[in-house]
Amino acid sequence: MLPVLVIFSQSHVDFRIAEFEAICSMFSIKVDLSEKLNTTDHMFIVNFESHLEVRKLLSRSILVKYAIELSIEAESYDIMYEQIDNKPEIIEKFDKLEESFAIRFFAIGRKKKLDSIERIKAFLDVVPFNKAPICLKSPKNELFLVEEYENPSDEAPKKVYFGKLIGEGRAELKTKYNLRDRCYIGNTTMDPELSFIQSNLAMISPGDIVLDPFVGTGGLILPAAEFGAFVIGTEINYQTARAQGRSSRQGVGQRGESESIKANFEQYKSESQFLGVLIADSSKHGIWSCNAKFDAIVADPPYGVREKARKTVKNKKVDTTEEYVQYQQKEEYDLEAAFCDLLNLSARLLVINGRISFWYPVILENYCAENLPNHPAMDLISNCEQPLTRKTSRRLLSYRKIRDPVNDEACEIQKTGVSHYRSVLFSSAKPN
Amino acid sequence: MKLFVHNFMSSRFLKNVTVGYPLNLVVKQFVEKDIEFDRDNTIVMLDRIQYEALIVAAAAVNQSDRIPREKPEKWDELTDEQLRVFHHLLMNIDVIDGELICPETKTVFPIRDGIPNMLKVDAEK
Repeated sequence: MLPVLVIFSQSHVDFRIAEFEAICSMFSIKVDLSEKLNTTDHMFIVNFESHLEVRKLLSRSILVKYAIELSIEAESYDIMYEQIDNKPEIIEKFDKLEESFAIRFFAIGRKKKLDSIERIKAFLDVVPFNKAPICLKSPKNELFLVEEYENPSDEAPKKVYFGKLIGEGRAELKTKYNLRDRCYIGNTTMDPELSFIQSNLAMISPGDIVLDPFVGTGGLILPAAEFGAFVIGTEINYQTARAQGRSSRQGVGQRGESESIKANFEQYKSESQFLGVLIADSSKHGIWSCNAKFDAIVADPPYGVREKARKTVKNKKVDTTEEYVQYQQKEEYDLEAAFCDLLNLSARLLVINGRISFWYPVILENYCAENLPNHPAMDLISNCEQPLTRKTSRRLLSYRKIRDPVNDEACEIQKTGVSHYRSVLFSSAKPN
Repeated sequence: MKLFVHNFMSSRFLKNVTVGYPLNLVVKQFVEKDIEFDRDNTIVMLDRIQYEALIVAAAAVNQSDRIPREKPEKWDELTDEQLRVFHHLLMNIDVIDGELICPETKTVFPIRDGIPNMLKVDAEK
């Protein structure tokens, strides 16, 4: 058993447990949680079987900041020093001539007026390192002194911890994929941090074939490609797929020649994972052949607020002349019908145990579990909320396909709610 | 569009089309990439493809003579060298300009700048 202090990011707390469980499930990591994960504390002691399993978790987690192999857990510094006196091997293990070290300080629950250098000095005054050389840049052993406060105003920490850093999570990905520097973005391009969390909830693994049926500028399949999957998207909007028209960037005007979905993959050097995008209507399931099977589907269907929710319909009256190319009319897509359709598509296109993870807008006032789409062949695995406005939020729903659908099984929403999303959102808008 | 995608596409969504597979493919321009070969990933992909459609795709880029006429019995019994040929077809060939054509209605879906457009209205005659 390897006791590990897992320190989580304090943002997107509602996604924490789902992400942790999905990654553990993906790598078959067996963990024993001595404190059950929750959304109010930010660090937990988790017993792992090996370092390798911790590293697997860290290789994917966006919300785990640090994993520290726990040497000491104590109610105060005095108790910690007492423990070191009784068991000097805790420190001797790291105090070797040939192994450099650094001590980092981290506090949770209180940020103000904490002098980390003072804390480290005080620690080293009592616990001297005699042999190991200090190296702050790339130490062999990166040792962590962690303080946990009950209240931000408390003088003394509730607990102190000491241990060696095993590694950090993948928070750097949100910087690498920041939208400011991305070649091509749209009005509703997903926040990079959430897009990576979504890939984790969809349990996307290297070599998987992944579909986004509302691909837009590719914001959800870029993380999938980063994680080694092969990705395909469909987009109904001709201009979005071709990166034409006005840019979503303020003051830029028309989109540039160099902007495209493919260029985004080139930017992040994952072009090898990009299979292609089609201009197509994802409500027409027949664009996929019978052998088309995907390991995962990720989606952020348009809610009709910043992007229109549309599907194609037959033109009522078509005047086609030789030189005039006529495109199909598009009509507003009833929101609930669109989400049911997405689950129906997933039940058909996913491999067994394949996952779909998609964003679902809800109206807070009357939200209940019966608002969620329900398909007999699909099992709801997680449901994480991101607040949006006073009246609305969106939920990242992840389902696992448990079997192939039989006969005409279809998705249902027991209690209507979402379809009024747009009207509820704008109902309080003041007239100009 | 990498040739792999062609294998997953059909025109069954069109009116009066029953099979709509495989789509005929006309390749006017393509680029050949050099994407790293991975044995396991290639086998996963080959397990999902329809061989008859792959033959159509190979013919469209004049490479039908590179793959066997009959589907190999078991993909994982192939040597790396044999698998590389399939990997090259599916992953390295990126169609830039061309057409996908419904085998039943002959409806044409243009591929421009590497993006097939499956939305044309005369699709719904």
